[in-house]
Amino acid sequence: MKPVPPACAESDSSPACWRSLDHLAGSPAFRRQTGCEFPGGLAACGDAVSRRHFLRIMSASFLMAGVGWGGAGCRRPEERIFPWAHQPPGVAHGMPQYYATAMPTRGSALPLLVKTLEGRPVKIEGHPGHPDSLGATDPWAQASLLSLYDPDRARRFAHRGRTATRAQAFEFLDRTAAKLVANGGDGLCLLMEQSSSPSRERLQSLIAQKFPKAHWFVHEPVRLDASASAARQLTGQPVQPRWQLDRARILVALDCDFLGGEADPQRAIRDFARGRAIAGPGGAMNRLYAVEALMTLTGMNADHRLRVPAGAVMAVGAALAAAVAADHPAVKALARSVPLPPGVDPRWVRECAADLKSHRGASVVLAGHRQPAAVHALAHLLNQALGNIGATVHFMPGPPEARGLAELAARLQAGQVDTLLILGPNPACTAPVDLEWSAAQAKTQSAVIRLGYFEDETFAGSTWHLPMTHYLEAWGDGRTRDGTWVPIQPVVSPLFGGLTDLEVLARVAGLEVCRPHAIVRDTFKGLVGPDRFEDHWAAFLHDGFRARTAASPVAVALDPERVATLLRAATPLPMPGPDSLEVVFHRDYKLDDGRWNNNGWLQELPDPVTKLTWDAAVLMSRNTAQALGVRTLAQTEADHGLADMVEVTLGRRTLRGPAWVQPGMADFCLGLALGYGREQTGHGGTGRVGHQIGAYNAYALRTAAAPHIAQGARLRKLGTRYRVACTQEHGAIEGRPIVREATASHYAQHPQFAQSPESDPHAARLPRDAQGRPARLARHPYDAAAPPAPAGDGLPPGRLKSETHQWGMVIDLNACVGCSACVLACQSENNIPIVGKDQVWRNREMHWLRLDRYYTGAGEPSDGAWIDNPRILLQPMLCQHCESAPCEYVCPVNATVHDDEGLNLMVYNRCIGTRYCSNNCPYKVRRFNFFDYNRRPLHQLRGPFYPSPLTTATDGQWTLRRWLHNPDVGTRPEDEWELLKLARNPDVTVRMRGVMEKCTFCIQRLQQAKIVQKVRAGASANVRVPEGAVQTACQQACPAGAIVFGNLLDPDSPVARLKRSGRNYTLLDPLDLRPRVTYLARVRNPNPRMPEADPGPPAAATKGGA
Amino acid sequence: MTRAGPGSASHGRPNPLAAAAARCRPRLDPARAAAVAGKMSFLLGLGGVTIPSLEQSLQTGPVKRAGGRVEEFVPAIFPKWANRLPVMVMAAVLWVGGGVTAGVWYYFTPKYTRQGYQPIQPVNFSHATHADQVGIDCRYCHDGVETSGYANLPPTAICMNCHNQVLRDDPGLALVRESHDLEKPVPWVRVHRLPDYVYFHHAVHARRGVSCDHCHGAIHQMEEVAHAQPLSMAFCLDCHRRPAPNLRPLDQVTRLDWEPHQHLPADWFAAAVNAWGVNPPSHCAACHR
Repeated sequence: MKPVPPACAESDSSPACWRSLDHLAGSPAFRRQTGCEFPGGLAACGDAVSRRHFLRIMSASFLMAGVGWGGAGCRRPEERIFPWAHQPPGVAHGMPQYYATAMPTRGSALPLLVKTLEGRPVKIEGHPGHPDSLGATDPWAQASLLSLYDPDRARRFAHRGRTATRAQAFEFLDRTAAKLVANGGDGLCLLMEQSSSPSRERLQSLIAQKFPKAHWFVHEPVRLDASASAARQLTGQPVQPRWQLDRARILVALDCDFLGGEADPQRAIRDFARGRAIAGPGGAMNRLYAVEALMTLTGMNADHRLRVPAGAVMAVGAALAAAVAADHPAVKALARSVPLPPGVDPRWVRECAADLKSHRGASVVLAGHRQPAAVHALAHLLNQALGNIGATVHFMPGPPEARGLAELAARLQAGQVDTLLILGPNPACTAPVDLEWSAAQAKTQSAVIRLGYFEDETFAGSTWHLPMTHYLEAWGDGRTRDGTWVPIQPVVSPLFGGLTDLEVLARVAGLEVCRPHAIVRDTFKGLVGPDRFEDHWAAFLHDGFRARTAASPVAVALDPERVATLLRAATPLPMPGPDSLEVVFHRDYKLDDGRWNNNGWLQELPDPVTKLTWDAAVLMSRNTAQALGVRTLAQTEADHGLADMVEVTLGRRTLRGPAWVQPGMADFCLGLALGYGREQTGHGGTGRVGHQIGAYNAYALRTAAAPHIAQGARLRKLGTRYRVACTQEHGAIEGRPIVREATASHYAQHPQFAQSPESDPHAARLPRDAQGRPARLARHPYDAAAPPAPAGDGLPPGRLKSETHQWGMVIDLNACVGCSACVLACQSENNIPIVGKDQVWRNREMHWLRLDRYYTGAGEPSDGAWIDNPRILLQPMLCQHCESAPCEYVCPVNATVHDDEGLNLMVYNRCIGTRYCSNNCPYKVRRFNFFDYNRRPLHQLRGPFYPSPLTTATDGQWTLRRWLHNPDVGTRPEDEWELLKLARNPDVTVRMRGVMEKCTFCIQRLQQAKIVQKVRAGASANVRVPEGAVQTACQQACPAGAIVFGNLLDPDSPVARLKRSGRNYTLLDPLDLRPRVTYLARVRNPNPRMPEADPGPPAAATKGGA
Repeated sequence: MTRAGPGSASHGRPNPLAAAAARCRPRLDPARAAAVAGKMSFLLGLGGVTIPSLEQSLQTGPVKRAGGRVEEFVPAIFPKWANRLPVMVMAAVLWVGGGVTAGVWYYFTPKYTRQGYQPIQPVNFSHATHADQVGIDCRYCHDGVETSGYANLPPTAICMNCHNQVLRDDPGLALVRESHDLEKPVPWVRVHRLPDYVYFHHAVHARRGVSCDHCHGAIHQMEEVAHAQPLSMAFCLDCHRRPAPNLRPLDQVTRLDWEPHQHLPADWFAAAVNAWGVNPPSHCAACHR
C-alpha cells in the first residue's frame, strides 16, 4: 500500500520556537514561504503562462537541444594524455597530496593542511597536529580557496592605471631603492597590515638599520588587539592576554564576541565546546553570561544574556567589578559615576558576581575589541581579583604598539611623505572617513607603490600597483597565537605572477636576497642555527610547525597606579534614545572588514545571526523600529523580503540602507556591518552582478574618534523598499519539535528527556496500531526479505544490509555554536555552486547543509519583552539519510535509492527533475538545480525572466555558436570558467541543470576510504574501514567537534557510543523513518538564582520547532 | 541471477519500473538510453513546432457567429492545406522511423562503446614488443596501478631508462628524446575513456585479483593499443555481480598470458571470494558520486 502521511493542520497556538517575527505573528508572507516547496517559481512571474505559449517555448528549446545534439554531442573528440616528461618524486596521478601551511590572520596564523590534486589546491582543512589549533578551521579559511581562483584578482602590474610589465615594475623598484639608499630612507613611509611573520619582523629591522629615516605604520580597519593594548597600558610591558576557555566554568563576555568576532574564533569555539561538554546527567558544564548590544554568536550561546547599549557595557562592567573587588577605590568611583542603565536588574549583576566569586581561578571575564580601554581594564582587574591570571588567563609576550593610520595621514597632509609603500591594506576604502585619505594620499611627493590583491579603491591613487599573491601561492611564515612558528608554503605557483610583501620590502630596500623562499629560510636559520639546517627545514615544512617554539607566559601584575589612571579617564557614554541613536560598527561574520567582499561562498553564506545573504542591513530592535516607524512585519505576501530603506545620519554624514529587525538587539542601537557596498572591487562585491547587493558602506560614517561605537545618530525612513535575501524562513518545518533542549537541572532529573515522541503535537493524529503505538507508515527496506542466495558464484548469501559498514552521524546541539564553517566546508568539498541573491530570495540556494536558527522565549510577560530578548537554538540540518526514506518511494525513475550501508543515494544521471522527492522530504533538505548554476554567470541568474543563450553574447561571440564550438563552457567568460574549474573537487560530479541534489555523507570520501582499505587488504578479508579513517567535510571543519560520523557496526566507535546517550533523539520520530542522522539535545546551564532564570518545567523542556 | 539492490525492491511494494529496468539492464545502459532519448526529443521538437501552428489554424473555427445565431457557413471545414496532411504524416513517420533506425544502428553497436577504437599514436610504441617479447611487467611503466585510481601513463624518463642504451638514435624515438630533453610531454592519444560521471579506481581492482586483461584485453599482443571491451555499465555490473570467475592470485594479476582457469582448480574461485571477503558494490554510488 502506498504510505499516506497523515494530514496535519497548523497548530493554533503561536509556535514555541520561531524563525522570524513574521513566523511568530503568522503573517501571510511566512505562510507563503512554507506553503510551497520552492516559492517564487514560474507562478511568481506575475502573468500565467498559457499552454500554447509554453508549447512554443518548449518546442523551440527542443529544437535547439536537437541541433546541439546533432552538431556537438555526436562528435567524439580525440583526447590527448600528457604525461610528465620527468615525474616529480612522490607525485602520483590521481593521488591527493597534502601540504602543511598556514593562513595569515591579524597578528596570528591559522595552521592548515591543503589538499592538492594535479598541482592545484582543492580543499582546505585544519591542521590536526598543530599544538595550538588542533585541526580547527573557521569559515574564512574554508572560503579562502575560492579567493585564490577569483577571476577579479589583480592580475597585472599597473603604472598610473595602465598595464606595465613586470620588468618595468622591478626597474622602478630598483631605482627607488637606489634613491632611498642615498638619502637614508628620507621621506619613505611604509603602511602594512598586522602580521605575525618573523621574516617580516627581521626584514623590518634590517631596513630600519638601512633607512633610519623611514617611518612604519600599521593599518587594520578592525583592530582586534584592544585587550592587548590595554594590557600593555596596565602593565607597562609588551604583553598580550591569552585565554584558556576550556578551564573556565564561568565566562562573562562584556561585548566580547569571542565565538565569532574576535581574534582566533576557531580556537575559542573549540575550548568553549570542551568546557560545555556534559558527561551525563548531573555532569558539570560551563556557564556563559553575555552583556552586549548586538546579537552575536556569543550572545546566541549564552545562558544569560543582558542586552544593553554598547556604551552602557562599561556600567555593567563597573558594577560587576565593584561587586567582586569592593575595596578598589578607582572601581568604586567609576561604579558611582556610571550607574547601571535603566532596565537592568541589579540582581543580575549581583548574582553574576556571586557566581564569579564562587569560581575563583576557574572563571574568566572577557572584554571585546569594540569597548574602550577602561572596560578592558575592568576585565583585567576582575580576572586578577578572581585569581584567574595564571589559571584561565595568561599574559604572553606581545608585539610593541605600532603607529596607526592617523599619524600617517597627518604626515601626508603635511607633505612630509616622498614615497608611500602600501603593502596590502586598502586605506582608500577602510580609513576613517574624517582622515580624508584619498586627498591625503594624493599629497605624496613622488610615488605611491601599492601591493594589493584587488584593483580596488586604493588602486586609483597608486602610482604603481603590484599584484599580490594569495597565501597559497607564496612563501612566508607566521606565528600562531601561542607563539609557535609555522611555515606558509606555496601549493601552486602564482596564477598571475604576483609578489609577496616580503619580496617587495626586500626590493625596495635593495637587499641582496629578494626571493621570499630564501628570505624565509634565512629567518628560520636564525632560529635553528646552521647545524643540520636542511633536516630542520624539511621537518618544519613537513610538520607544518616548529615544535617547542611556543612562548611561555610572562609573570606580570597590573600596576595599580596605571589601573586607577585608566579608570579615572573613562568617559561614560549617554544612553541612546529615539533622537540620539547609538551606532555600532561591527566586523561582519562573512566579509570581515570587507577583505572577503568578492568571495561568492562567503557572500552567499547566510549570516550566522541574521541569516541575510549578499547584504548587510541596518540592524535594530523591534522597539527601535516601532519608535521610528519602521515596519516590523510583512503585511502581505508581496512584502516578503522587502525591507524599509532608512537614512542614518551621524554628524553631517549620511548612509542609506535597508532596516532589519533583529531580536535581541539593545533598544535604540543600530548595527552596521563593515565591508559591504564597496565601490571598487570584483564582481561579487559590488552591484555589478546585476543584482542590487551590498546596500551600504558603513565606512562612510566611521570616524577615527569613534571607530566602533558612535553616539547621536538619527534615523529617517525613506519610504522606499529594498529586497533582501534572507534564509531564516527557508525550510520551515511546520511546528514539529525538531529541536529539543532542557536545563542542566532538568536533565539531571530526567536523563531521557529528549526521547519523547509524544511531545510532538502531531503524534496524536498519526494512525495507531492495536497496542496504541504509532503505526508504521512504511516497511523498512532493511526489514524486507533478503533475496535468495545467488547460486554457484561463491558470493555470500543474498542480503540487503552490509555487515561491514553502516554509516551514521550524530550532531551535538550542545556543542554547535553556529559558526557556519561546516556549510562552507561542504560547499568546497561537494562543488556546490553559488546562485546569486535573486535565486536565494527564491529559496533556491544550493547549500546541502544549512544552519537553522530558532528563537524561543518563556512566553510571559504579555508585554512581549520576551520577543525582544529571546534565547536561540541552533540546528545544523542536512539529509537525514532515513532508512525508509520518503523521497525514495516517490521517485518515478529510481534516481534516489538506498545502498546497503545505510546511505540514501542521489543518482544524478538518472534524475529527470520531477522534484517529487523534494516535495515528499519532511526535512526540506533536497536542493534542485533550476539552472546550470555552474555555467551561468551571476548576472544571468536574475529572474523572473532569464536571458537565453539564443539572445546573449559571451566573450564577444553569439553564445549558441560558441557553445556549438565547445559545449563545455556555458555562458561564463572563458577565463572565468577556466579559473573556477580549478576550484572544483574532481572526485565529485558537477551537477547540471534539472537534477536534484543533497547531502551524500561525502560518499566520495567513504568510497575512497573503503578502496584504500581494500587495497591494503589485498588477499585478505580485512575490508572494514578502521575507525577514524574517514571524516565528512563538515565534521572535519567543525571547530567544536559537534559532528561525529562513523560506522555504527563498531560498538566502540564514537558515533555508536553517542547514539546510546540519553540526549540522543531522532527528528520527527513518530514518522518512524529511522534517520541515520540523530541529534543530541541541547542542555542549558542557567543560574537558578538569576532574575530571569526560568526553572524549566517539564512541559517546557522540549520545545517545538518551526 | 542478479542481486536486487535495496533501492530497487525494498520499499514494501513492487516497483514495476525498477523491475523492468533490472530486466533490460544487461542490454540497455542508461548512457545509451539517454542518447536515444536525446534523439527522440529532437524529433519531438520538430513536432512541437508544427503542432501549435496546426492548432492555431484549426481554431480559426468553421463558423462565424453574430449575436449567438449562426450567420453563415464557412465553405470548408478544413483549410486547403489539410489535403497535404497525409503526405506530411508520411514524411513525419519516415523522419521518426529513420531517426529511430539510425539511433539504434549507432548507439546499440560496438561503435558507440568504442570497442575496436584504435587511434594512431604519436610514437609507434608496441606493447607486443615490450610486454610480451621483452617481458617487462605492466607495473614498470604503469606504476600507479596498485596505489592510485589512475594506472598512470609513464613519464618519458621511464622510456629513457632503457632507450638511452637501446635504440639510442632510432628515428622512431625522436619524439621521445625530444620530450625528455625539452621537458615536453609526449601527446599520447587516449584510448580508454569512461564518462565523466563514472569513477573507476584501478588499484582496488588490481589489488583484489582482477587482471588487467579482463578490461583491456590481450594488450600484450597488441602492436597498437585498441579498445578491446565495451566498458559499458553492463560490462562492469556483470563482473560486480559475479566476480568469482574473474579473480586470480594477486601475483598473477599482471601476467596477461596466464589463464587462471587452466592453472587453478575449479573450486578455487568461490573459495577466494569467501576468503578475501569479495563483495563488489553493485549500488549506484559504487561508481557514480
